[in-house]
Amino acid sequence: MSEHLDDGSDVRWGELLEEAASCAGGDDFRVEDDVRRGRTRLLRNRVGVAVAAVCVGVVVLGGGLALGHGTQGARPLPAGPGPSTVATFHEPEVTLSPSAAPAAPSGAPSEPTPATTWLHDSLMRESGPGTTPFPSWRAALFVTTRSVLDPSGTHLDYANHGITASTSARGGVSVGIKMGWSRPGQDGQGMVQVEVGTPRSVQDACLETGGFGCSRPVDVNGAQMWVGDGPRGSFVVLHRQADGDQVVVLVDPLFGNNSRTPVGSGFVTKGQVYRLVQDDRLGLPHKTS
Amino acid sequence: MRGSVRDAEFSDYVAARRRALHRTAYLLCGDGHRAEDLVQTTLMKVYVAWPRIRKDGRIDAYARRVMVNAHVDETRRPWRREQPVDGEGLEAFEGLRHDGGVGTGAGSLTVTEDRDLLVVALTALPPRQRAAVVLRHYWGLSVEETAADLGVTPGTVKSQTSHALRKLELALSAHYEERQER
Repeated sequence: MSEHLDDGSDVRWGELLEEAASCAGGDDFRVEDDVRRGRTRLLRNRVGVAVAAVCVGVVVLGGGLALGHGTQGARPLPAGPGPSTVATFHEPEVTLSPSAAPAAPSGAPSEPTPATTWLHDSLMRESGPGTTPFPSWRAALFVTTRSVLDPSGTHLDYANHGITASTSARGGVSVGIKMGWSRPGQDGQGMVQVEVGTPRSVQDACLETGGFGCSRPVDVNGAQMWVGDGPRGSFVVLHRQADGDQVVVLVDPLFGNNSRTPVGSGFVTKGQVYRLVQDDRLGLPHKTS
Repeated sequence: MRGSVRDAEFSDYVAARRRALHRTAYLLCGDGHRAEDLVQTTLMKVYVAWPRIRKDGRIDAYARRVMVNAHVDETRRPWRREQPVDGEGLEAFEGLRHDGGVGTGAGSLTVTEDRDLLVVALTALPPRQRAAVVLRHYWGLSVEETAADLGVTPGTVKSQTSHALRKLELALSAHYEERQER
């Protein structure tokens, strides 16, 4: 290859890069998977636009009504015949009961707090070659998850020792881990991802974790959950704990790039995940993590 | 545009161009798994923008621009921040030449083939320089086309490409000289 370098021409570099790229793989793909991901993204964008439009409409309507009230108080409308407009606004009644569908947790972005600022800083400071933030917190998260989903300790593993994290410009943070799930002696590997974060939009959290939204609310003995179903039997469950931490768990019978064979039946059930997301040992990392 | 038409056209595009996009992503990030993530992100955005970019007839250009920007964004995320950059990249390469491997966040990568060596050398470049080299010499774009893709001036493309190739040449030449001496 040294003669290539001596030449130094564009063509030679092109050939070298072509050769280097030839070992990239990527030949194993399904077009329909890309189409599905594209549709999901498009739907998410459209939902975002629709929600924004509704918010603007509500603000405009609310402002108009408030203005109308103020005007009435200051100066009575002239009596007598003539065109008039009557606006009636009914305050919606909201009733929450154990059997009613829960309202989605607010999507209001978090404001930075000392705790989330520390999380941001720690992620920035401790991420790098050979270092992954919050080692003891990750280990504890794995232990908690295993105690609920795999009490025998034979299926779940955290061999990758990795971390998943996302942050928003307004102080929101979500961190988690991905774990493998397999049966000894059998091919196939599934995946369980547990994310703990500050409160944010349910659909954003579900989409970001699973690639699909949480389409339905579920009441589990009075605890409110949001559940979404994805391809291959994958599903995502979201629950906001009493202390405000939002827990999202994704269960996928196929561990993405780690395996080509999905794990068979008898995988993690929704009932187990409903228990996990309510576990009060789950929480965001603290300074001792 | 009806969804079925969009799906059909997009599917044809993916079938024809996904492999090239994956290879581009691999050259940009030097890792097969991250390359796949990058391609998926790119194609999602291409799907969303499909009616507009199809009308413009510059689908590849849009896909390349999205991919490069997504890659640069990725490298800015703290938990994926790449090190080292700029001149320090060659120091990592020194380690590669002497030890037969270069340290990465996930462990040591053993270089056994020339093509691996070039990929490792590429990943030691700053992301923008890497993108300039890949667009100019892998895609075969002109300076002006590369500048349009990267959103910079042609002069910037020339200087970035020149710096990048000099570093690559230096790193690879030293390796081969060493190999010939053995």
